[in-house]
Amino acid sequence: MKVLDLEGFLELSYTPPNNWENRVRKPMNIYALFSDGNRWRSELFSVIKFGETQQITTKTVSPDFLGTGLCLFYPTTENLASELEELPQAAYWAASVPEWRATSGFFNENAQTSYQAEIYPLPSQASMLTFHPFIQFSKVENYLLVINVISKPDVTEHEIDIFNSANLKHIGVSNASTNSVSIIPLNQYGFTSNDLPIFLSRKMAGIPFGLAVAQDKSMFSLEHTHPPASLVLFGNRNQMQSRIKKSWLKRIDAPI
Amino acid sequence: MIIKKIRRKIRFSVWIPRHISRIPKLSESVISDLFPLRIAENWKTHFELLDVQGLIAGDNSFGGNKSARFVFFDEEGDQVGEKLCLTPTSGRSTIELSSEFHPSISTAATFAVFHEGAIENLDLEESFLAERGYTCYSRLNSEIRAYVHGNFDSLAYKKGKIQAIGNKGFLPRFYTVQHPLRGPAKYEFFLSNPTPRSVKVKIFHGAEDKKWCEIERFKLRSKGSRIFKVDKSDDKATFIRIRSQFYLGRPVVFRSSGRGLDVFHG
Repeated sequence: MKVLDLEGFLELSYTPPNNWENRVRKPMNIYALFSDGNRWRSELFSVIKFGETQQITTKTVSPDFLGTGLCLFYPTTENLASELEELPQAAYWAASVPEWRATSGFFNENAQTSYQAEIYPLPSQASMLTFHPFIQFSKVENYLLVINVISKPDVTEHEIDIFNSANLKHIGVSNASTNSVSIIPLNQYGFTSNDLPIFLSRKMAGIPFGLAVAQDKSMFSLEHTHPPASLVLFGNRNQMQSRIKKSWLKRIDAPI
Repeated sequence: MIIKKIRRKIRFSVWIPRHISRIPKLSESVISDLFPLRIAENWKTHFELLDVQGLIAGDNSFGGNKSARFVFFDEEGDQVGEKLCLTPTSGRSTIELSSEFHPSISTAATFAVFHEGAIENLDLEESFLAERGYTCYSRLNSEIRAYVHGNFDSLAYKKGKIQAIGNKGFLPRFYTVQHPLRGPAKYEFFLSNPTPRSVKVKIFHGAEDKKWCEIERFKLRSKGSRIFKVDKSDDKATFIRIRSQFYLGRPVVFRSSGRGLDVFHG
């Protein structure tokens, strides 16, 4: 990912998280996958051996790969065609307890910020509702990043509405696109330290992240905001997610 | 394909015979992560307190007397203090966890946040209200705070009773922290025990294509925690491997480099 003037990085480690799942040790092809809006473009980026770690940065990949701000890296033993109608499905590095993950994030000459970056395609017809409880103040620029990946290569723009969760006042509207990383500057909305904004996309799912960048660029912070299902554990969390979303939408859409 | 599936099921039944965490014994319990607390050596810890009941109900002005019980534990898992706070009636409240917030906090290593009030008015079906929220860390010279969300379903609470709900296996297993260490940087790994019993832990540093060196071993009592450190001077990727009975021995990682602080789940 590349946003603002920060460089992105990805650490691909062919080191499984546990000692009992997925003991595959064959060399893997690492494909760079990116959407041109009509097709997934695929290019063999490297080959990785068992035990090896490869650091990929936005300085070392072609700018052509980052047209939407987002380029995916896919390990596979197969050979992929140069153009694809859909993202490949098979997971070659797969472990579930705990999950096999990759560290990704941003860096500059002063600092870096990391998160666990594996991503699976999201449903093409879905929605996103999230609360952002960690906007920072003083000499800090705040952004909401929305990462979306769907199986089809379409790059389609959708609206993201912003509300104040206390009084449901509509604060603004921004845009985010499928198969992209979209960035929404937040300081322009004048949030205070007690505000808890809601971000709502009615037609696009996404993984939202709060990014805070010190104005002197000495440090930054990146963390994802929770989906509503994270407010509960056990039981039917999917149903709870749906119910929580419906409750908020009912109030948001109620006539004033 | 069928053989592969059967083999996978057998492996699962050997290594993960139960769920990662157990369902709380008492209905209407509330669940919290066991969050790292760092206040010594110029560290500051803040917590973002939200009206979780209101967020679940779809209404931040959802009625009832709502509060959040902060419970503090030391490294050995012993409770060293607790404090009840009113939850914000709307929005968020950023709480600095310092000795002004609670006098015995200087001896604490972790904390949990249990929400109280109006739980019975929520239709949670079979689910339990959970606090997996956002803690942030900074040092005195930090321009900004580094945020990380709760990740473990560690503790359940109801009417003064705390239950550790993490599960562990019979066989020790390895977990390789899913982050390659690169320097120059100072790494600190926070590991807690969310299970009801003590767990022996061995820490190794190395890489798959090199040898693994044991750098530390300790016993974590229930609700106990440790921070172990690695000073990484070079840029060559190495890893931390944790041997324990934890299903999910996943630490919180603090990476300090220059003026930068990076906090994330490993």
